[in-house]
Amino acid sequence: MTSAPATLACRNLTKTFGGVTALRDVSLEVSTGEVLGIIGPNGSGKSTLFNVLSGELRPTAGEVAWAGTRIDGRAAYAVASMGIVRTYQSASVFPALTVRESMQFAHWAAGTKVGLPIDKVAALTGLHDQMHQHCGALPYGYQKLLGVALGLLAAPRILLLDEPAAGLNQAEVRRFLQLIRDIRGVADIGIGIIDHDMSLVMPACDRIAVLNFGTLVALGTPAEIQRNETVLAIYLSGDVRTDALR
Amino acid sequence: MSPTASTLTSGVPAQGTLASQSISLAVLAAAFAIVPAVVPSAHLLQLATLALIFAIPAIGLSLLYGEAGQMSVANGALYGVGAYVGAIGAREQLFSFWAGVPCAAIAGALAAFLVGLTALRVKGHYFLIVTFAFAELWRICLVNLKGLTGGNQGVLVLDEVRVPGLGELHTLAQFYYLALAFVLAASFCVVLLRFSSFGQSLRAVRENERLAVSLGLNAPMVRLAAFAVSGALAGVAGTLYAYTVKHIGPDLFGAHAGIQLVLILLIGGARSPVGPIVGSLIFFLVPEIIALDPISTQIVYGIVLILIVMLSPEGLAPGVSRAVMRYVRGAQPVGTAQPVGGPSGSISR
Amino acid sequence: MEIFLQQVVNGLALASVYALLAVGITLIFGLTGVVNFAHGEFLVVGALIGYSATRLGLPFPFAVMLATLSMGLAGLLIERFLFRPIAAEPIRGFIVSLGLIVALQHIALKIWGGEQQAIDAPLPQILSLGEVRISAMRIVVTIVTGVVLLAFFIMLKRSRWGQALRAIAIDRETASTMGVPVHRYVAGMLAIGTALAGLGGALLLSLFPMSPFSGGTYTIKGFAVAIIGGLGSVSGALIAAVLIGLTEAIASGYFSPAWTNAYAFGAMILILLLRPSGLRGTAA
Repeated sequence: MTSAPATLACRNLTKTFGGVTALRDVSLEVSTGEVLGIIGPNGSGKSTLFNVLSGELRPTAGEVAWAGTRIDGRAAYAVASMGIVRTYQSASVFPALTVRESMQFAHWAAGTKVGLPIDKVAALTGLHDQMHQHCGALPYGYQKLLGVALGLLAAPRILLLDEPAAGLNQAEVRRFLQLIRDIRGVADIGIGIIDHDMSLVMPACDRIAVLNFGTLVALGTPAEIQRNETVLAIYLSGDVRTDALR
Repeated sequence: MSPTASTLTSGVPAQGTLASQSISLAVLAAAFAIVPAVVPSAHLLQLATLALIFAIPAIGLSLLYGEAGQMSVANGALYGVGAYVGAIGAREQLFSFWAGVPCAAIAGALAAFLVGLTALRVKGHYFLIVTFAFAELWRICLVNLKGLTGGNQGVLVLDEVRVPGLGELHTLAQFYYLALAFVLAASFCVVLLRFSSFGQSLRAVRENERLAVSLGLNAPMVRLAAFAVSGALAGVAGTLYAYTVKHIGPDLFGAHAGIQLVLILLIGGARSPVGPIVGSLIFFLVPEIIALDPISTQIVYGIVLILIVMLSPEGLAPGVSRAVMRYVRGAQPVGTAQPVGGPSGSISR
Repeated sequence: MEIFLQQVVNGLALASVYALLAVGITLIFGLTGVVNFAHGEFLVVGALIGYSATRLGLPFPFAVMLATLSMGLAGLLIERFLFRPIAAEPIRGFIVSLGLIVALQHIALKIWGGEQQAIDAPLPQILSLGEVRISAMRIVVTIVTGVVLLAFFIMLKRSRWGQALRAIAIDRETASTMGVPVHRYVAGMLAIGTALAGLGGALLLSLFPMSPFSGGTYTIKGFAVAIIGGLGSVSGALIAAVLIGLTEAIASGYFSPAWTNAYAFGAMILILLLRPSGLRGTAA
């Protein structure tokens, strides 16, 4: 069932840590039904952006709003309950619980919100034959998939994936791309993806935002970004190969 | 890694199921029921009774520490809250034992809740410091508010425990069985909580609080609730103590009592219903065997605590049983598959 | 007015001892994340060693030095054999410190008994400035601790040693890969912390009597001052120590002294509720 799109937006977002400005006057939004990619060199503030959007950090200036209501300053668990769910760059699991127990927990934590059933999520993420395994014993790639699975079970309206492809090989990245397409097919969710792997970001995203030193330097379709002079300059001067942008 | 995220208990799968833990408890109940008949002296029976009573705040702490991974040294003071509520209630003739118990539970939970609130907004190590400060502050209040608490003299309890059908309890054996009943009830409550969805959220907080929060769990509130439950159990035990020993004083309920509870959990293990009880028994009975003066005994306890946490941090009893298991399994050929785990939550104890 | 001035002077002496405690605590915690609850016991044992030394005829300044050095040595040993093997899990270090409290306090009880011990004031003179009576001993205590803390503060800010310490506090792993011998600094820091506690204890003994039971209160005072100042901030600890020392002295002049210890705890709770990072700590 598709309802009118709801939007997670940040306006004039600034975040400083001591003397370091991690985010500078960033305005972005991601709505349900679309996939937004966020790319940029290391240290450009991407993870900080997610940390502020999810409520783990408070902005120094600016605001975050969900479906029209301001949410900056709310506790992280409250933001998650509202439907903004994020995953973590390093595989984050419950080591002593089994895959099934973890999924049951995420499902329970979603409360009365209607989300995908466990079997469906397990099938989508390819974890259906790992359900009895203890999460701590899972290989890295499966742990990352589990992170996404748990996020899905929390009945999100917006799912923020922080470097989901980090540490995955090419085959795993292709499977992840398919996973994103499958998720779009079964749920009316907005997805934000931070990643360095262009073979994931370019095909998966409707729009891409480029951050550099905490500032938003470009925002557009993948095609537009690939032609954008500023963006190419950043990647030429950095350590990412330009053909990675294609 | 948060300094209070218990790496001592996290990463370790749950011990047993609701059924297996209930059965352990039933077996323990049966074993302990015959003690008054076989114990060689009244003194030992009295020690066993005291050990059972002190096991109750330990059981409460095992929920907080064993399941949620949150350490606290305030539970000795929360035990004291219950003791003084019960004793003062008796002195002022506000209520008798059976009404005093729920009052003490509420008082203990409330005190825990208020203490926990102050540490809610900050990281876990502040909680430890606040619990220590609360324990010491509580002792200071007990000593200074002489009008209410009797200061260093403490409070005498002149009221009796009346059990319908038995009248007033007088004999040592009767108080032993009263304590045993409370211990079993407290332990069973914790077993039920351990396997409820509340217990599940405690474990999630312990295993990976950041992840639990990102899925919508109000982690601080969950920890606070566990702390409040541990406070309620400690409060109940306090009133039981007051009515059993008939006299309470401030020195029993400061930070030291809190440290003793930590020692008990480290001896017996914090993840099973039997652990705190066994730990408390060992704590109370070993000095009888060693027969050192009280001060030397405490020195030994301090050293033992250090040794256990350095050598066998998940607990002495669990460590020993694991070593025994390994020895037994060592007799099998190399390459024997380890059981990965069957239906949810069950792994061999 | 005279009472007020009197208490201000008293408070400064108290504040300086709290500063010694809190600086040790805040640095150890800032560097290693270890919550060492046995800190107050080092103050007490230092004081009692100072007591025994003066009873055996050693002049007070030497007794103080003995207390300082012996507690520093104890800190070194404890770091090497107890804290370092389990440095990867701070909560185990915390539990070890719980065991240390019990063991140290009762060893002290064995050796010195449970009664409060006091020494005759090494400087019994009382100076009079108008209506205000200042004991020369309090002045000496304040000056000695002031000098020690100042020297320490300068070294922290100016020397390479201090630079290394601050680097470790910010990012331990990076400091280690850059060749800083982290272990030695951690050991040194704990030893300095316990030495400062011993120094504070021996000096405090010249002002107040002490018994093995006093340790817990000083531990919590030390932590309260460190938290109010902001855990990890030396300047914060100094400011908070002055605030608390003065508050306690002034309040005990006007209100019942039985509650003196409660003010520090109350202030700590207030800070945790209102501004958890402390006066000078970095907000999360």
